Amino acid sequence: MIHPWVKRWLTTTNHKEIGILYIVTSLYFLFIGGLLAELVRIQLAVPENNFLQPVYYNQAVTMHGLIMVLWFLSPLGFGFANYFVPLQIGAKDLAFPRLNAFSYWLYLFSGLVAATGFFIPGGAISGGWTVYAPLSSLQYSPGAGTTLGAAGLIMLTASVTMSSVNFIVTILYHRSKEITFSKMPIFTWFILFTVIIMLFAFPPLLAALIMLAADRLLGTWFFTSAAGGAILWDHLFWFFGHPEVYIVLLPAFGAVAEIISHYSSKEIYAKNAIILSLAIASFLSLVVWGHHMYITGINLSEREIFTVTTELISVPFGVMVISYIWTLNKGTVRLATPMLFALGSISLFVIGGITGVFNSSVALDIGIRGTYWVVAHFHYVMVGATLFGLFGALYYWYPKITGLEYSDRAGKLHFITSFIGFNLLYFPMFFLYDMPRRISTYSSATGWAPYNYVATAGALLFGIAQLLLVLNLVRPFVSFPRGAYTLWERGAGNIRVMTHASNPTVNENTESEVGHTTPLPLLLSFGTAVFFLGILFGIPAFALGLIILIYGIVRWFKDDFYSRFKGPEPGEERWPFESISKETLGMWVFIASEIMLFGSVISSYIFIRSNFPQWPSPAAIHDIPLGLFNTTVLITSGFTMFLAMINAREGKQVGMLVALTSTMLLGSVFLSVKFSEWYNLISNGFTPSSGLPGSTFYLATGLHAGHVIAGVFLLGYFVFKTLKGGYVKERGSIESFGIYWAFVDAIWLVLFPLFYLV
Amino acid sequence: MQSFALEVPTAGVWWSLFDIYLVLGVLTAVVVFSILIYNVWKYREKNTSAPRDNKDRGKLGPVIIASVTLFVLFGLAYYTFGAISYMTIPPNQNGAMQIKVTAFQWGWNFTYPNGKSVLNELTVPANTTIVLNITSRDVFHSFGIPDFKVKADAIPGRHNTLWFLAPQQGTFVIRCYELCGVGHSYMVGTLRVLDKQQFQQWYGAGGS
Repeated sequence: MIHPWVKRWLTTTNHKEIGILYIVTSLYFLFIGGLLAELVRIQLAVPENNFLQPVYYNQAVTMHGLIMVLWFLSPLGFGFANYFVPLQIGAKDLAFPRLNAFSYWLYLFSGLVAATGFFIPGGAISGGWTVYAPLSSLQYSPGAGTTLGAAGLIMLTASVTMSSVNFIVTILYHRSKEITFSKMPIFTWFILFTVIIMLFAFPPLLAALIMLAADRLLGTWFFTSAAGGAILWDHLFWFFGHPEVYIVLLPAFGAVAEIISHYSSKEIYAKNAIILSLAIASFLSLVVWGHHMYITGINLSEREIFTVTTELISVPFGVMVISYIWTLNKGTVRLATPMLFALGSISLFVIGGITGVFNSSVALDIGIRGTYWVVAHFHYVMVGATLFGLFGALYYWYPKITGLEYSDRAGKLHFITSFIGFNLLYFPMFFLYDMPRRISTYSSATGWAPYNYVATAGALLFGIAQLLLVLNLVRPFVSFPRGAYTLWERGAGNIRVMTHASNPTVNENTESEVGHTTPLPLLLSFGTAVFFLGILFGIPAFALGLIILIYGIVRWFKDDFYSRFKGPEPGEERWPFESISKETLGMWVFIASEIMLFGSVISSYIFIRSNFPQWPSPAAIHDIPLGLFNTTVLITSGFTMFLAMINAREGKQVGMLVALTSTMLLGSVFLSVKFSEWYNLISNGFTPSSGLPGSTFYLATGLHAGHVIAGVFLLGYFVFKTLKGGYVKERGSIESFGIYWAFVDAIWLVLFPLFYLV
Repeated sequence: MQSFALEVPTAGVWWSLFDIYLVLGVLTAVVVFSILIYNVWKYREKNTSAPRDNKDRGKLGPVIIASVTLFVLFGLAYYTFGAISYMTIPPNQNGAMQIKVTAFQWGWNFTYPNGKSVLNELTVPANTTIVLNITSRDVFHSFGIPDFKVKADAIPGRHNTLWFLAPQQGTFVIRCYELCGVGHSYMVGTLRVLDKQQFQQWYGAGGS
């Protein structure tokens, strides 16, 4: 039998425990990513080194980047968000606790799937963390490592999307009475904007990854043709990639604001201006991606627009940094460990930010693009500002999370060695403004050796310094000093809402309550991982994964049917969403990400088609009358679903049952027609790999059909539940499904003319 | 290196722009760090004589910061736009020499107007505008001559151009600036600048 302690951690849905799982797991990934970085630095320490051959070097450099950005920085920030956002807003838990556990387990398994590549012939994904096309294609990266990397990233995107929906609904819908927007703590504000950016930035990445996987597994032509190719990947990737920088930075900056306020015994200076800056920066982050593409050949006026939008980003961040610093003014400044890390974070951000303005210049970019100057710049932001900020948060909240106290002196030593190591490591790279990124070796004639040597020395110091972190975090568990919280309580005059019970395990939100644990998130994530490992092991793994997934999904619905699992009650303060249900709000938020996903797929189609003059007329390929018939079927199902919602609202069980059944049948008719269409087209030689018209058609309509299939299954469940009298009072899920179905209809009304008529 | 660079038109413009950014950047950093260090020192816990209160005066400060930053950025954008149009549009288009560059895993192929084709060594005449038309045969590469501060991505199916002019004879290095596979580090070419007469001799002869 599984030990209860183990079982608790495997089945928990408690936000604090999930938070701890996130923190511990992200630190594990930090260790892996850090080891890879050390390998890279050792190889570069001296010219013409043979420590790591290029084939391994490229894997190390690629996985280092991916792991640090996606599996360490962001998840560590979200560990704190999981733990402290509900506390800060007075919520009992996140809005959807099971979904939160699912996010965590998917995150863990996604990292393991991506890292599996290290252990297979050909190695892990190796085309850089940007996975540029067409190097990532089957022709130039034949090993399964790249496909596994893409699979891991797809799983991670699913995890991130669920988290975004969960946090947005939690923050909007679960605040306690006194937490109006104007009183919401600043860390929660930063998390809110982080998840909003995540919601919009990740779907384009998902679209790109689906296309990449299709290219590699089905032989489509998205990134291997000149019409799509490298530029299409660039647009999609950087639409995600630039906001991703803010996604990792903002949780750290939110924590830094709390820390600075706490250790100055002052409210944060100009909180409203900071929040406004946060909003502006979040918006701008979505309109600057072109600055990663200055020399790809996009036209001059576009480049100038992107220069302006990018430079503008320094305005909100300038306001933030100066407001943080001015918080110290007339305060009582105590340089405890968290404060040192917070001030370190700001200082390094100043350097990272100013050098970023250099990069924003379309002219200067020509010189520094692809060089170690850029490497130095973004590590000052991603490691300097973000990692130092998150370490500050770790020290700041450690006593609160564990109930234990660490040695402040050892913490300070950790800060000082890290700070020196960091600057030794990255500052010399600014002088390597001619050295290309990601080269595995260089000749001694270049004159780059001294800077690289110092950088490697710094990297070793920085790495060894992190042993102090481990020591500081582990030692209190061994020596267990009593009288914790002195680090926390001193000068606690400005702690507003964090007044919950001191020991998290006996908090009012305790895991021992019946109906708060479930093994399903772990099971479903495991099933997904097994499914994707089919890339390596073929059909048996696909089949096994599918069986686990189906079993898990059925169990999940059974839990729902018997109401075995209860989420937290809504908060009292939920302006302006008092009148709609939690599920409906969640669905609207999810739809926003879906719009971005389909928007990316449709934009890619338009991009490819406009670069491909000989595109065949749709009439020559498709049966337009049949398509029109199918469109009518789907629109009709939209009306019947609307009837179902009206009947649900009025409590008419029979009407609802009839309407739901009709919707399900119409959906099934749509799918049957769709499948027969595909069958005929494929028999006629129009396949996903027959050319770009086929690739784009099957991807877009396939993605849509996938949504219809999911919808039909859900409708089947609703019909079943209605028959058993399950919807007497509750109607939130029917309403939110109505929104989903309307969205699926609306997307078809866009796809149909685009693919069948013009 | 920098004194030479100033004689190269593209590098000269680039370095002047860089210097403007550098001066303003260092200045900003010095001001911000001074404010930070002053406040940490003055309001440290042990300084009992420092005045303290907890009033939020955050009204004017952010507006001032935003205005100053906007003003500086306006200037930087102005200088950037001047530099970029110079670096983008080749002077003396008619007298320019057009050379095709095809990147591949892992090297460069240079094709001259007379059909002459050379591997990895780009030979050009001094004091002549050279326009490179860059593409790739396989994956994404990026063609750069660091001493000249010119660079353009080499992308399959697309053609990007850049121009440069070498004021005097010499040899310079050409590098690939985008990860292109295991040979990325070794994708190094040479730019050889000859005087016009020597170049004509070389160009007239069949081989390289």
